[in-house]
Amino acid sequence: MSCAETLRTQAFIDGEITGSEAEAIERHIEGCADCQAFCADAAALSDAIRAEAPRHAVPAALRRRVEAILNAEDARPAPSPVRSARRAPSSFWRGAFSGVGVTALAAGLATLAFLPPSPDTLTDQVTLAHTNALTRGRTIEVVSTDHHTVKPWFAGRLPLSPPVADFAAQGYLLTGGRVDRVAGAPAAVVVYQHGKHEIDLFVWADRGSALPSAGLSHGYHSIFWKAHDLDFAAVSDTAAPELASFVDLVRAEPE
Amino acid sequence: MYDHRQRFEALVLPHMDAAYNLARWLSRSPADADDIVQDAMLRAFRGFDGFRGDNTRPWILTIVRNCWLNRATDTHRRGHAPLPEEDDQALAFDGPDPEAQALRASESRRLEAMIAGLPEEFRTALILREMEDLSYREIAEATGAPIGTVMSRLARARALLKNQWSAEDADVVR
Repeated sequence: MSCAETLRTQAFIDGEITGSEAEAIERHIEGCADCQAFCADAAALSDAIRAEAPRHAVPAALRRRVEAILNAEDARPAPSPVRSARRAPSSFWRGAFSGVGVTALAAGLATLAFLPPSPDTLTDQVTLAHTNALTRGRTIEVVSTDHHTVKPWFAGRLPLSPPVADFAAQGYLLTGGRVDRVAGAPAAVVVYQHGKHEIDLFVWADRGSALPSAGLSHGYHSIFWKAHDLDFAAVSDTAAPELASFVDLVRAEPE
Repeated sequence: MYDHRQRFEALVLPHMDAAYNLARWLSRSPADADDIVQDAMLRAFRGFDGFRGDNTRPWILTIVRNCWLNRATDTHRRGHAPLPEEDDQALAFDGPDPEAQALRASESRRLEAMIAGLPEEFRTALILREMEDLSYREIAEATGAPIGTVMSRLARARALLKNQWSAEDADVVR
């Protein structure tokens, strides 16, 4: 029942395969029901582990005991001044984007979720999805600056494969991704950080609907475009030229 | 010159959470995990001058696992014999484990119980991959197994959990 390519499919979703080999296995997964099921099961398990199985953190008392052990050990061969152990670096930055006004804005936009998708409402739709995520403090479901981790994460969670690239050199740092909804359809969201601003790149399957080219809703800029069989929207409260530069980078990426 | 203690604090102590988490999932006991981590940190500190690699995380996790293996051998606490390498036959879950059984009683913690019941090699590979985000190479280093073995252990761990989950769901329906 399991496909001979299962281990390579697994290596792909674990972010171990890159480049042309990744493209080849992606094509295989598209046509293999076994591997699609494997991806979906692995994704469900991964989500369940993250949500329900505890990652145990070191109790403070144990940390102090280890510190004391190191002090004693330091003192053994040649006494040295007692030094307080530095704390491990604080936990990885994670979706710290709650801002005053975001909640009120989300409430104001909430009614729009029920409107049918049209070029006129799409700006508000993606802005709503963006601010809802900010409000929940859960803009990122997979935290990673590595596109080899983020891209495969979507396999098994969505029937589309969004382009994921890193533009850290240009000032747009990949920080992760999540699954969201735009106009009632599932969308991949690739999350970038630009200065203090978050940029959400929404990607969903094209259904032939018209897109606005650009929009402004409640201070959030959005830019829309189509490529191949996908629709794209970039949304952020960063300045319009900054968002336009980001979009240029994304569109220049071969995919 | 960068002194021994400072280097250790900068390169090894940041991985103490990973070390403790692995110790907890291996030993299934907070008290044992405490002892294992203390033991491992002391050994790591003493052996740190001999560390020549560039990645301390698999290194400290290897020490944690060895400390657990030593304790388990000493006290006959280990629930099962080590798996033969590349044994891909259907593997049974560990025998009755008091903690795992108690966990099973609570529906909300059944996933935790299922992971705790996986054979150690599978459980360790899964924990290091899903909770600590280690690469295959790092897991191979930490467990002293070839990468191909790591891959099949991960696949087996995922398949066992999926089957176990489906079987329990079927029980509930019945």
